[in-house]
Amino acid sequence: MSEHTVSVILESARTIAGLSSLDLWIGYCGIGGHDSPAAVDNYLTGAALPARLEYDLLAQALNDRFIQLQLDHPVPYAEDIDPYPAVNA
Amino acid sequence: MGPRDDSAAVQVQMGSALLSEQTVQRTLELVTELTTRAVRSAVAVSVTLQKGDQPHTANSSHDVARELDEVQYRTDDGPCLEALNRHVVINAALAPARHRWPQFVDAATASGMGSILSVPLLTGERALGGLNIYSRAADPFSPEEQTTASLLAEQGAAVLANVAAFGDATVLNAQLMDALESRDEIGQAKGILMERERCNADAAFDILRRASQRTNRKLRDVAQDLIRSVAEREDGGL
Repeated sequence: MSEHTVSVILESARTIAGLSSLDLWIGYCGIGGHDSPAAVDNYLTGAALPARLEYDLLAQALNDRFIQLQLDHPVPYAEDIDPYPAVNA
Repeated sequence: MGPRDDSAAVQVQMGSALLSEQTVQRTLELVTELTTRAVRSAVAVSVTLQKGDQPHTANSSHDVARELDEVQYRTDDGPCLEALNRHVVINAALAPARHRWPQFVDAATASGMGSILSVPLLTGERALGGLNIYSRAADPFSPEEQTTASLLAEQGAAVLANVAAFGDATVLNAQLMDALESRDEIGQAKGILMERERCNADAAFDILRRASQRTNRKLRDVAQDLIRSVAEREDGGL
């Protein structure tokens, strides 16, 4: 599983959920996300890879939105992505 | 009061409008009222706004201004629309302009009007609408009056643009406040789990996340349930 795949998962889910990048960041921040809006933009474009926990928080923020849309957790968590790519320091 | 004094007074009043009045309607009323007072020849004033591509009179000091605006919308022709579409100030005596806007001039003349001053409300490259000032005088408005009207239109457009931006900011503010509350609740739930399960924060989040997935409920709802159950147990123990 590549860094590129992670960004494709997040960006396509964001688009389908009908959220702006800022909406996603607000949802992510609201459940404990630590990274900035600019960092989340980079995760969506593939310019950077989120740490495993931050990825799970983004996936959860998206899944929370999908629950409102009557869809049951379509965005995979890091444990479902085998192996989750290593984040370069 | 000269144009500069007018401008200062307008800026003070518009500034307080931005802080205390947050509706477009109040801004339009203020623009109309100040224009009627500051432009001496004015007998009727209106503000045209664009709704999509369709102009409409959003506020007027007198019915006659609204009626004459509507003649222009109906015929798709007139100084107000010209100012709006071409982003230029139109300052014209009506009698010599009959060849330009025949139906409008006939209607305005029948209402006793002799001249019109239409100033676009511009923000950047976009016209939000126009400020229309009608006079009974047969001559165009004086250069000073035109300057005053332009200053009023400039300030009015700035306030209207700010009102729209303020609306956006208010929504964002509410979303961020809600996010902070949610973050706090999830933090509390994680704290409960860390104590109960003797685990770290990341593992506590994982427990909440799995519960959300298992029950198909939002993480915040799962966290609120946990907090509530602990509070109820503590209340029962007192």
